[in-house]
Amino acid sequence: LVYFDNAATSFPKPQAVAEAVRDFMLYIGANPGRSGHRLSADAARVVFDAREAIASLLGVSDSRHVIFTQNATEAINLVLRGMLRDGDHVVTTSMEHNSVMRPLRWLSAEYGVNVTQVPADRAGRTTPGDVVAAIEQDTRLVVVNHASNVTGTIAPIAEIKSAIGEIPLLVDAAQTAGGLPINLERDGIDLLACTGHKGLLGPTGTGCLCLRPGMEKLVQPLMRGGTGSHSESDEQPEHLPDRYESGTRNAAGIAGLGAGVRYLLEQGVNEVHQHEQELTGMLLDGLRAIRGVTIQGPADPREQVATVSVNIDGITSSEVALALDRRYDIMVRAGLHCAPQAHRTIGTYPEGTVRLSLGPLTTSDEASHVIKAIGEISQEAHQS
Amino acid sequence: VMMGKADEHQCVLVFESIHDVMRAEKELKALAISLDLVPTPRQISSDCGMAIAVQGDDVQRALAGLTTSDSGFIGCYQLVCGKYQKL
Repeated sequence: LVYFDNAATSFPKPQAVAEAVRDFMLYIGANPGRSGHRLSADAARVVFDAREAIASLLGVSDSRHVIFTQNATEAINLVLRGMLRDGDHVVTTSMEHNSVMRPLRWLSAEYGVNVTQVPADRAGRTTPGDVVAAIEQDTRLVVVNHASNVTGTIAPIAEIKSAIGEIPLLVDAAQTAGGLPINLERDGIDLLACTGHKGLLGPTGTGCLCLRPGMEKLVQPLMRGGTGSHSESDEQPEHLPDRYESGTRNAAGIAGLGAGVRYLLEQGVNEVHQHEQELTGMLLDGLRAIRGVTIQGPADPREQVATVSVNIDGITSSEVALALDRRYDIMVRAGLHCAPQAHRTIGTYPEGTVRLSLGPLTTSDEASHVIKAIGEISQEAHQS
Repeated sequence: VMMGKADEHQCVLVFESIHDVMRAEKELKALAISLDLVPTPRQISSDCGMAIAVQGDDVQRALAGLTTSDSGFIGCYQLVCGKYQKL
């Protein structure tokens, strides 16, 4: 079986990830830090270690500024709903996922938040100059997808931050954390939303928001409730991470996420990125040589993450995905990938694309198998 | 090790959050200070449900280790004549 759907969730995971979840369930099990007993301390240590590992991987100097969420969507909602008020203006791009667009549409309808979507080019590229040109006097936030989940196109976030100055930048790193070097401080990222189950190699139901120190003053919590701290008070504590972590976290999942991130720290994100870049280049070269295949996006491994969207003449994306699954044991995703505006931008709405997405454990043999399968499917579609 | 009944030779270090307790535990262990994680004694206004107990002899070294960083450290308490007093 060849799994080419890592942009949806990474698979396979390193074995240590499954072992960490199992060990937590079998030998620790307790609520992290809520109680004073040894197992509760063991659970808290697991969560602490995972938080420290993420801080180390993403260039967050104080791990208290890593907030565990259930996914990137929750992290994005936390910021958008915790920060934007009546009449605020937000600048974003036409390559955003629905995790950004749906809450913005709702905030716009309910609270009169004004949203400007900066159009990307046909390959999904956003330029810092266009972002700056969209800034208004009451622009309170800029939201940028670090890499498109449709085309893989990487946005120049450090350049965008330099260009927008003091206005806070929220980066949606769902497609990049773990696969592309990220350093919160170096890249000037104010708010970084990550999912745990893609490039960070953790289980589903994990994610995080990383805040540059000071940002917590601008972002209200999405939820308030029990934190295991300041129990004598019925007011939400201000200190991090408790300000944003009400209710028991997904400790078993976080155990696995910690193992995934430590795997990346051992392997090196640069090495993972290089591996994925080589295989993406190989995949692009192979696909380019097939008649009837259109590659969407930049089609250049230096400009994109390990996600490649294609269309094949004479056959729909869903038919291609079904043929790949049933005849070739290749798992891919077809359709609109939860980002309708991105598809309009690149001209694939409403048909969508066949999305091929690699991971750190993908091999060149697997890439060859995919190229051969697409070649055969394309040839058949051409002949019929 | 605290064995249930509070011990007048020990001090209890109290923090803002469990994260701060975990970080302090790591830092104090790196200084080879022997410690025990305990439920925060009820007599101390509970900021966080878990606290760090250290032997009286180690308190000064522990405090020096903690105050070097922004550690979320709230206070050090010692049992004196049955009552916790902040040092």
